[in-house]
Amino acid sequence: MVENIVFGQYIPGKSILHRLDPRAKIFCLLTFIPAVLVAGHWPFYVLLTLLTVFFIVLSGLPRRIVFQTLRPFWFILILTFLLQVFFTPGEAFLQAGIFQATKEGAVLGGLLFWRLTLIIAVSSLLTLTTSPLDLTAAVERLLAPVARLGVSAPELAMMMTVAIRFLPTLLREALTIKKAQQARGVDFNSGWPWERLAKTIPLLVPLFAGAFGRAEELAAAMEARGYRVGAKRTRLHPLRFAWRDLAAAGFTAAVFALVVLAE
Amino acid sequence: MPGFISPQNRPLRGSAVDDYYIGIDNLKYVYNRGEPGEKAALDGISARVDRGEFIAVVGANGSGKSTLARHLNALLLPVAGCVMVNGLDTRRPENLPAIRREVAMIFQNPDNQIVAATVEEDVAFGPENLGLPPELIARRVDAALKAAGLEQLRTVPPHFLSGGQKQRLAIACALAMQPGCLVCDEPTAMLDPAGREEILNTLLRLNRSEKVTLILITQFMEEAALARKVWVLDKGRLVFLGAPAELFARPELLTACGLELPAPAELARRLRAAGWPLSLEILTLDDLVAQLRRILGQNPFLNQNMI
Amino acid sequence: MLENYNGKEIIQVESLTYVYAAGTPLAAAALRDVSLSVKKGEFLVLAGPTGSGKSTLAQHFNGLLLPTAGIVRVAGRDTRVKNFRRRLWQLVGLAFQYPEQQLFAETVFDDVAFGPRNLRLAAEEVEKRAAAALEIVGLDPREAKERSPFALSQGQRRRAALAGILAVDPAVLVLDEPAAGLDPRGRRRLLGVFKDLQQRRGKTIVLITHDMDNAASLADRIVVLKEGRIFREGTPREVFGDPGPLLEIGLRLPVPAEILRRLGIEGVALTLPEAEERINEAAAGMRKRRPNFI
Repeated sequence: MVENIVFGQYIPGKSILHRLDPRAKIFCLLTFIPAVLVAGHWPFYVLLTLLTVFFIVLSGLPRRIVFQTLRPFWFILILTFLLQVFFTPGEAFLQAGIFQATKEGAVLGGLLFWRLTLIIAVSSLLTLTTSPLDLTAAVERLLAPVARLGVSAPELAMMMTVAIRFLPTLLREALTIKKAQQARGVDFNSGWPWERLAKTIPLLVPLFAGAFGRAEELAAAMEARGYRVGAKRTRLHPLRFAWRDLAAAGFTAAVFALVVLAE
Repeated sequence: MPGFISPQNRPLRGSAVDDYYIGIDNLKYVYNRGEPGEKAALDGISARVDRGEFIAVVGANGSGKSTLARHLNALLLPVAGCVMVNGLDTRRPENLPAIRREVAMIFQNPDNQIVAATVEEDVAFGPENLGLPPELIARRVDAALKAAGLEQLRTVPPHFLSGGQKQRLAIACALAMQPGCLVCDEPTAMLDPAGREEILNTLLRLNRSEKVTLILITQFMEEAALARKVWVLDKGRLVFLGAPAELFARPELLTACGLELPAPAELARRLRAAGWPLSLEILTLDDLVAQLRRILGQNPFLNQNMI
Repeated sequence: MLENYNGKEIIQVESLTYVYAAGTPLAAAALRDVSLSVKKGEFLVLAGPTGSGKSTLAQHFNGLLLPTAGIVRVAGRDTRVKNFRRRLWQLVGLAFQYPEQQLFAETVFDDVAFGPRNLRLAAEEVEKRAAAALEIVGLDPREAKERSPFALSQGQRRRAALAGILAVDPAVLVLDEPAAGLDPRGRRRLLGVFKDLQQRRGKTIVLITHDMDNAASLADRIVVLKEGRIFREGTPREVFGDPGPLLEIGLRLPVPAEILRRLGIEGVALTLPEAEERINEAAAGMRKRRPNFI
């Protein structure tokens, strides 16, 4: 049975990870992945790797299953690694025909390989511990401010389009807000970790407030252009957000903030 | 709120309001109704819009301009009174699709109304919502891109566009719905002067040659000067309704509403007070210059090359 | 120490070049060999088409951006010096476009006090500065302690955000289109506040704006940028007295100047009364020759 598990297929269970609200899990993933992407120093790689292992343990799933989800990606992972090794200019340590492997390439390739592995592992944990229905419901609920209309499968695709479309806008906004707060005397690059966390409030509050405002305007604009979704749906098991969900979301957000501020 | 009649109980009028293209009858709207932050936003507005008209709606920040605009295509629904579009009551849910097709909206922030990842797809979004067949959508997209002058930018991602181009994209998106009326909520507020001119020219052309009804919400009195009619809002009430020239003849009213004469009209007023025989019809810089030239025209000491 | 700079150059920019995304294939020069200075107590307008580098230049004034080449000195010190950069924000306050987007605290007052608190001032001093700043922009300090910035109107939020920058009491204020999106009265009042700060309290103001009428009536000096270089520089009278190049790069003249230009009347008018006067003079000259004129 275990052999047939493809990437991210749901495996029912009772672990803490299974019981977390799917919205919290999505949020955690959405903060963890950028943290991995942004991290550039060894201590953070170690930290993020340990966290990944920790998450796997929490999931209560056989480790084998988690590693198995990586299988379809091996080819891509190894190819990425080799491309980096052979096509990064630098000090050569190996000559293979016209190709030469460089030390710099090996470091870069190794880091990239590791990042992708962590991302795939953590992403698969989400789908491994969450039923597709819960996941869909969570995405619907998370996107509710934009849709404000209840979401079903075709709309999900629309929401993804919108999300992708708004990424550059929000990134630009985050940068402006960061600069504006720096201009008011926030030094994001100093202080103890908990001080640094406190400093993210002037960053995150306006960013979220702004994103909410945008979402509302976008909803109006979409509605004005005839976008409507069928009648509102109800669910047998409504999602409930508990303290542990908040804690989990807060934890990964903190990790993310820490990595972003340090890099 | 005393005196308010709930929308359900209010009889729909069979007379005047639904004979107009757009009829607004004693429209009231309250934000956060029944909550501590309750705030009256529109207070008894009655007005009409005829087909092909160009109306500018002006007023200070918080006067209710945007709230009014959002009633015209049922993004907001009256707390009391009613809005009729082409004979359709905005309060009836079954009328929504037809109303949204008839009255298209353009918003202030060009960034927040773009849905898709390329210009072309974004323009197609509206017709897609109408459930049109693909060939028809393609035709509408082509026509709308052409009308907004964006044919060259079809496949460009929106974040590569300038502010003016983004707002022209919003216009193209609206046009793809083939609306009879465009409601523009401060479409130039976030643009630089070049972008502002770009958008105004596009809108004016649509109104003049395509006979699209144009309702322009604006804070720039220079823009209001271009309209056929101006509505002035003050604290949720409609305090003036008439031609720009009539409005500009009453600077005290503008001041009371937190507005000002546009600079050319202000200069004309000053010169008139100093005895210059200038007509009250001076609205724009071009008008003023034309009249002054006629009076000063024969002066041999003016540099004729500059005129 | 700042008194020494009265009437002298508080900001000096020498051959500043700034390249975005330096060292990547996306590298693009935003500023090229810009040299300019800002005198203490002057009202300087930075103008130019969108993308001409105005905001990039402004961000060099308080060290948010550092030169790729060249040097920027504020009060005589290089902005690249690390321990100076930490304190630079107190000297030069910078308001981005739509600054109300940066409000975050629970009350308006806390938001305004954020800057002074970052200075680690005593509580009473923080209180005093925040209250003073709120009063300058016309907000009630007592009310500000009870209201959330998110419950204010757009105009009030704008003023609250600007008060947050004034509360640090910087010697130089750099403002990027501070009045955009406000109604005519709001625009006039807000710009009046900054002119007042310059004239009565000796603040140095750097205003970035597209509005040439504002530039004409407020500025002591105008610097026009084009494609990252200084294109024109001088008093409003000098800059608008040579309209050809400005019109060529898509800028407009202030309405009073434009009317005189189109009428072919010599000279520059910066305000409506001035334009009126010049037009009356032209007519008077005419009456001398043709007594029945008008």
